[in-house]
Amino acid sequence: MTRDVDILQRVMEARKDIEAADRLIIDYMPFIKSEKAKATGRISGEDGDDELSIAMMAFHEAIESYDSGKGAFLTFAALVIKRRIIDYGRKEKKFSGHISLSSPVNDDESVSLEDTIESGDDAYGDMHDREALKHEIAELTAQLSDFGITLTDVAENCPRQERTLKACREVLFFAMETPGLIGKLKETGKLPVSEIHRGCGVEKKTLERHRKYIVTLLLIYSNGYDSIRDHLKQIFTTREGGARA
Amino acid sequence: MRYLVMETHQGYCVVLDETGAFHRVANFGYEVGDSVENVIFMKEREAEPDEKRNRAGKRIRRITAAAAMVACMALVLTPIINVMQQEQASIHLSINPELTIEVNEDDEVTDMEAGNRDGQKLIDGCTYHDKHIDAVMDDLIGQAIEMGFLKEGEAIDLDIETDDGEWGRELGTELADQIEDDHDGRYTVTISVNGAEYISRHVIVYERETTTELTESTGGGSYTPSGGSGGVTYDRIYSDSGYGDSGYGGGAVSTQPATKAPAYSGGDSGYDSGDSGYDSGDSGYGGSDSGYGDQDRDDD
Repeated sequence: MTRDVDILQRVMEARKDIEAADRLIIDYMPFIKSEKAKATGRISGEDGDDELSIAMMAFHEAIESYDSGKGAFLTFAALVIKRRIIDYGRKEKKFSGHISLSSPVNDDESVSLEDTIESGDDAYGDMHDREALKHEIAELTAQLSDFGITLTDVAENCPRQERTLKACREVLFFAMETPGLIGKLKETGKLPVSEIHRGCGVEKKTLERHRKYIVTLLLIYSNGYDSIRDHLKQIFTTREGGARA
Repeated sequence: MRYLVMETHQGYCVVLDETGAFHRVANFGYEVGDSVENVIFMKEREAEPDEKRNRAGKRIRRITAAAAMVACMALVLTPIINVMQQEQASIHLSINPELTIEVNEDDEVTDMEAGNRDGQKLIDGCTYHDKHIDAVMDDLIGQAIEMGFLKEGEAIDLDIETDDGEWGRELGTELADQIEDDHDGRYTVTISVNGAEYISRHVIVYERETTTELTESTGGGSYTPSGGSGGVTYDRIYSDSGYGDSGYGGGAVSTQPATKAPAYSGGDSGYDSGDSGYDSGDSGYGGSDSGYGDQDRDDD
């Protein structure tokens, strides 16, 4: 009983605090591995074990979707893990004739197929690009934290409907054409909702509902995030008139 | 589509796609700065019940404070407000259970009404207020599978009624894609907008009888069971007729197996004993059956 209360408290805490969720997953790794083994009938190593990754994600989903009406948390989590692994197995079955790049070469688990493929690209250049990206992402994360936003918040706040995404992009295009708007955002820490609404006609409700996402998009298109912007190849292709960036 | 890994956690990582959308996906050992493909998306977090209550509480307080003024304006504004608050669309879902889902302009479900008794059973097991239509549809179809209303190859018909036809078609495409992705194209999906068929994706399931008695009477066959249960397995032919003109002659879809094919070709391999091997209870996840729902029920 005490154990049930304890885990319940931790689940509630984990729903509000991502670090608490990470700690909970680490502490319950034996449980997650055991449920994964039950669902797949296999016990395997940790590295490159895709089903274990799915089980860990499912455990996190269980944390987020649990309520006391669903019975004991661990029973519920076991069910979510099993469902997720079954779904994943079905998806993977479609690609059963394919070989994963992460599959080991011969019996040597430490060398994957991917490692043996010669890249035609410039390895030093790639490493440099990757370092630049990591640096920019760290910078963006820090800048967002000044607005009280995390990247997890952004992912949760990101619109899923194409027309809402389009509306958010319109805000970006408007901000890029309006000198000083991104500067004002950085200076005040507030999204100038009324000005954007007047300027590009996007509903205030949409701006408020997706504020965190829009702020992130605008910050990425301020100075200093060239590598991240390079990745966003398709962001302008949806706009009438073709690419602009 | 490539995804840039922005943040990693034990249970997931945050990625940015090339169109500028952020997602939470399974963390297959990714590191920040990796550029990856073929991600597995995490389920959307549902709104916290507390959050919803707080929102409602604030609204009530505000309304109380302004009650006198509103009372005066209500007589004048009520007809206008009624028009403005009209639902954006009604979606008629028909499996065997039938129900109508009311959706507002933010694609959130505002109401559901059963069209028959089975429809009511589906609604009873589903919380839907203010939830996104994608999540509600996912719940309803999952529930229909669990309750045995929907089997592989059978049809899901959605008829979207809306004043905004373009939006209705966009919504229809999203729902069809979602159903297809979530269920690996195991079901025939027909979407109509304002009565006109818009999308028709057909799945035909051929049923092959592979009972033990039959196996014994032919002296064993070369057919190898794929993990199905109950002595009947299915071959699925997925036929996406695309958008609009399906060439199938309209939306009526037979959910019955189209033909019966011989289960095995005879020969000398396989089952020469009486044991057909079909009774292994746990099919793992490789099975082509619909035992997913059964397993869930067992655990509940």
